[in-house]
Amino acid sequence: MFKYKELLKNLVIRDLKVRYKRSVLGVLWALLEPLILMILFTVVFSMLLRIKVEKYPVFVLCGLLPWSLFSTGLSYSASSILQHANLIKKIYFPREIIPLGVILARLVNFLISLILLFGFMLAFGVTFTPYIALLPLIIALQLLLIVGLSLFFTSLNTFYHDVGFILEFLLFGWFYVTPVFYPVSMVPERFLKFYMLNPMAVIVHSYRQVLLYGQAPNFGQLMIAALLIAVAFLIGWSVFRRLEYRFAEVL
Amino acid sequence: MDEQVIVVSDVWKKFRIHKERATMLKEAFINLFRGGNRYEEFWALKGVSLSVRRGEAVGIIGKNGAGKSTLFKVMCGVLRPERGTVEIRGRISPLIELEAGFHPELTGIENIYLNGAIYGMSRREVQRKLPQIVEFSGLGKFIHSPIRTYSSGMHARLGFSLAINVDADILLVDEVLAVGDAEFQEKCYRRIKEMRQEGITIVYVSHDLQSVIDICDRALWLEEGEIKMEGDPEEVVKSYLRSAEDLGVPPN
Repeated sequence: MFKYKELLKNLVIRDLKVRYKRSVLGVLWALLEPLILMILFTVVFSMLLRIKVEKYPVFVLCGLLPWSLFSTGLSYSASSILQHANLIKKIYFPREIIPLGVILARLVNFLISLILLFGFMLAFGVTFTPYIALLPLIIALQLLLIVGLSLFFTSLNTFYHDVGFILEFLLFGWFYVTPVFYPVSMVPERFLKFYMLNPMAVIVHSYRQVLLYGQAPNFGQLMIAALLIAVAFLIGWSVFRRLEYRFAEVL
Repeated sequence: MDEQVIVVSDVWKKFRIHKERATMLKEAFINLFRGGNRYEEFWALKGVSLSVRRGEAVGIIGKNGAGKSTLFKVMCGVLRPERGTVEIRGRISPLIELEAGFHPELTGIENIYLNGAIYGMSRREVQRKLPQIVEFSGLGKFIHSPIRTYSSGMHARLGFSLAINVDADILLVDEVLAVGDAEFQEKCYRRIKEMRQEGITIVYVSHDLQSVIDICDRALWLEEGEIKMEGDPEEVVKSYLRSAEDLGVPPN
């Protein structure tokens, strides 16, 4: 695996290069995309539906960025093995490099888009606190979740193409049970326990705590989320391990 | 010099021939109720053993469907055999069309770096080899254009130029010289022969029987997943041709 880090690097670079190569604005889209979403969400949920949250644009942006890392990471990687069918049928390299490359390219995109978030935090007068140092930890935890789920969905999707469709619906529903455009405080107390079993809910909330609220994240919830994520990762990884050697046969 | 660098022992490889492989869950469910998947099993390799010494060139011949490509892919590590083992000592490089790894939007040079990495080469290694690769391809100034502007012949040239310049201990060649013009083919032959001289181990799969005689020290005749004959290339090719004549079919 270590020997192939060069390939991983190349795949990430290629993914980014190709994504923006034929567009006039190029890599600016990494900032424009969330900016446009932020404006749309602010109009709909803050102005029309009146969700009562201070500094709503920063608030929603802080949820949108990790969410799109999660959803695009999963949906882009799910079809990645299928897209590289010819390569997989012809030459050996560790197969997980393909979805991993897609996810890391999304991570780079996410890190670039953080510039936008930091800019809006300054503009809205959000105070930066030392809790921001916990950001890498939260990102790492989220990556682990994405990679685990991706290994699961990618390997199954290689055999049964409708797994990709199912994933889209799953993400659609998942979006609503994650506090992206509304605060966790709007979730009724009696549901909260179950609600927080969603690792993405804990992760998005933690981003807001360390970035916007200047609070320590809820470590109890984070521990439970980390445990669930570890389980998801182990399941995804073992499913991938069991199926990968048959990829070349079914593609 | 007698060190074995490839040891294939008693390899069995099975494929499922699906009447219509269920790529949708619905079909998979229907198949489940109809009583199992509708596929037949087909053994592409039935107990193949083969060892290759360092510096040896071994040719593999046989009809279409005899298992040549399957054996090739098992040696590359692309396919995993049901039974048996494959041991490879050294860096193995399959000489194949690598158009698959190309990206149309990237230039020839960018694609060389990407594909070099697929072969497990470091950036520095590709850098060192770059003049040689570009020279070999004969693509000239086109090397800086996105390869979506290339003709199919140019694609093939780029792919082989890279593959053939990978520093490998073992070179696997699968029927690749069928593409490109006569001049480029000749160039590839010359390079393969050069590599032989340099002591690189070669496994050569081809329908071009004359080139098998030219290049190889030993030949292997595969038929229906089994080794039918093994030995001096000229003799193996002769017997192979005779059997094809007996059946009244022209050998490819």
